Amino acid sequence: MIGTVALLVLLATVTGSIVYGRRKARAQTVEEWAIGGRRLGVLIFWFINAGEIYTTFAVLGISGFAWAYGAPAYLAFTSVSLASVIAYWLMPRVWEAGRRHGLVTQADFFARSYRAEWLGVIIALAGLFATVVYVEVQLTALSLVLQLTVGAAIGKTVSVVLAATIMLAFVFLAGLRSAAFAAGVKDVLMILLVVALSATAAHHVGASSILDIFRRADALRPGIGSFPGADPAAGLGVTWFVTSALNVAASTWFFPHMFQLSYAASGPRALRQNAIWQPLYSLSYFFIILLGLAVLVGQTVPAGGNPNAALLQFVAERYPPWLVGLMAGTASLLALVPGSVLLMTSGSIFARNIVQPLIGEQTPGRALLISRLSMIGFAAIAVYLTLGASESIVKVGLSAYASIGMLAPGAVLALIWRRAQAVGVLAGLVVGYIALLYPAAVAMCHRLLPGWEPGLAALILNLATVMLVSWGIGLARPSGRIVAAA
Amino acid sequence: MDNEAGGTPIRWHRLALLSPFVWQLGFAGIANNIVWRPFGLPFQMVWQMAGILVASAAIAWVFLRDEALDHGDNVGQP
Repeated sequence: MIGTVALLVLLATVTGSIVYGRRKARAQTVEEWAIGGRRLGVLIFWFINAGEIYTTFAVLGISGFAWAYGAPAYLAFTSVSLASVIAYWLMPRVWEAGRRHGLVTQADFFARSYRAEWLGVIIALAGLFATVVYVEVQLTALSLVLQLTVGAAIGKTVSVVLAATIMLAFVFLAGLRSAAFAAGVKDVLMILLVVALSATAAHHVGASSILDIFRRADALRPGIGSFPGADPAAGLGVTWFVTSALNVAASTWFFPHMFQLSYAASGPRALRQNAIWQPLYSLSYFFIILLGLAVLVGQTVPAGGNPNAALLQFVAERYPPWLVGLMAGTASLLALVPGSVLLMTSGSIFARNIVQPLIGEQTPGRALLISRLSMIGFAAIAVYLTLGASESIVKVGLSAYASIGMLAPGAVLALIWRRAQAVGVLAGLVVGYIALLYPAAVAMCHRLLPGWEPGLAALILNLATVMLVSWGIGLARPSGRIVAAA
Repeated sequence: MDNEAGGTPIRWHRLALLSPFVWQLGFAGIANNIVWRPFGLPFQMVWQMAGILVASAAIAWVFLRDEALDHGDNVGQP
């Protein structure tokens, strides 16, 4: 029963999205396939944005975080609102540059803004690295859903490989417009499901009302509703919250797929209107956190104490099979839609910003083929990472944000500071990645800035380096960079 | 006030876009120490949810002001 319902949800959505995508697509080019021909209006853009924001990171990750820590899950409430403020200012400028110069990828933006193709290649590699880590998050979740549906007996390896295969199949059959359709379906399903689960959770855990769940959670783990949450030793206090929220807000739009989304809108007005409405959707995190606390109150313990599986385990234990199947199907879409967009983005970056500079311009059809084939390689790397990972989805996700945040200084300065230099951006990346990845630097950051999200410290160092190096070059070469400030 | 690029008015109203940061992050420490539980919910949780409404309202207000300026109304006002 569980498998049948889940499969029905999945097949119906995928078939509908492919039909929708084929009817809407006008040409099989990378531009049409990857950025929807720059024609997405407010409504479809809102849905595809929501599809990118409300992923397994948000639903399985945040509910698991609420179950394990409590208040630190409030990070979700800041992730969309603060990022939308930045989007209001940033995205129309990126869109304008994209339209004016025919840009498709984020690396195109850097290469064009700094007139340095080599910088485009480096940005492409950095973007691919963070994108693959984010695909890992989606594969982790999709494999958990598969284990729930088919049975834990299939094991992690088979479920992760199967998850990657399903994701690739969807990508090969679909394009960005198909993903937008699937995003719309999964968002409607998710809202209905989460509201239904929340409305009945109190009954299932022996609480008298939704609000009683919060009271009981606080009685079980005193202080869970405020920082640092249920586990003070985890270091998730107010400083962690503020610095992590700033880092997520500053980094969100620099994931290559999110940056690329800016190009896909029909114009700056659609982007600005989207920024108004997008935060409101994140109020639904209330229900996600509620469900995480319901898992706690209901004393459900996921296998191996894995927080990522907390919500799925709770639903599997306490709800009828048809609803578990619906949950499994919807959760699959939660991973499948953003995962497919991430793979599409990595394919287009690889074809345009790594292969093209090396072997020259390709015909549109050949570029599309290279793009699609390269995705198999990226999916394989993501499978490898997923098999070796055991961390919370939220923690893996935050490391992806920290990594991609390294591209923010170079992108923002390209828009506002005409003296920013490609060499300065490279120096900033080197310093930022050392601060983020070199163990001695990370230890120093923890010592000097206790409680800070390391990604924010690395981002500030990166920014200071870009400005200092560019300023120094400017002194030596007073003409400075003359860019078509995007 | 004009910027040096050529007479485009500086859009001071866009400073309102900082308000969600002040609300959700600037006051997070204070909100954390308030023990009152509106509707039985942790105060910090309610504060952060209210911050989402502040963000949408701030962006909407800035959007309306920008639209007015883009359509030629009030050009030149700070």
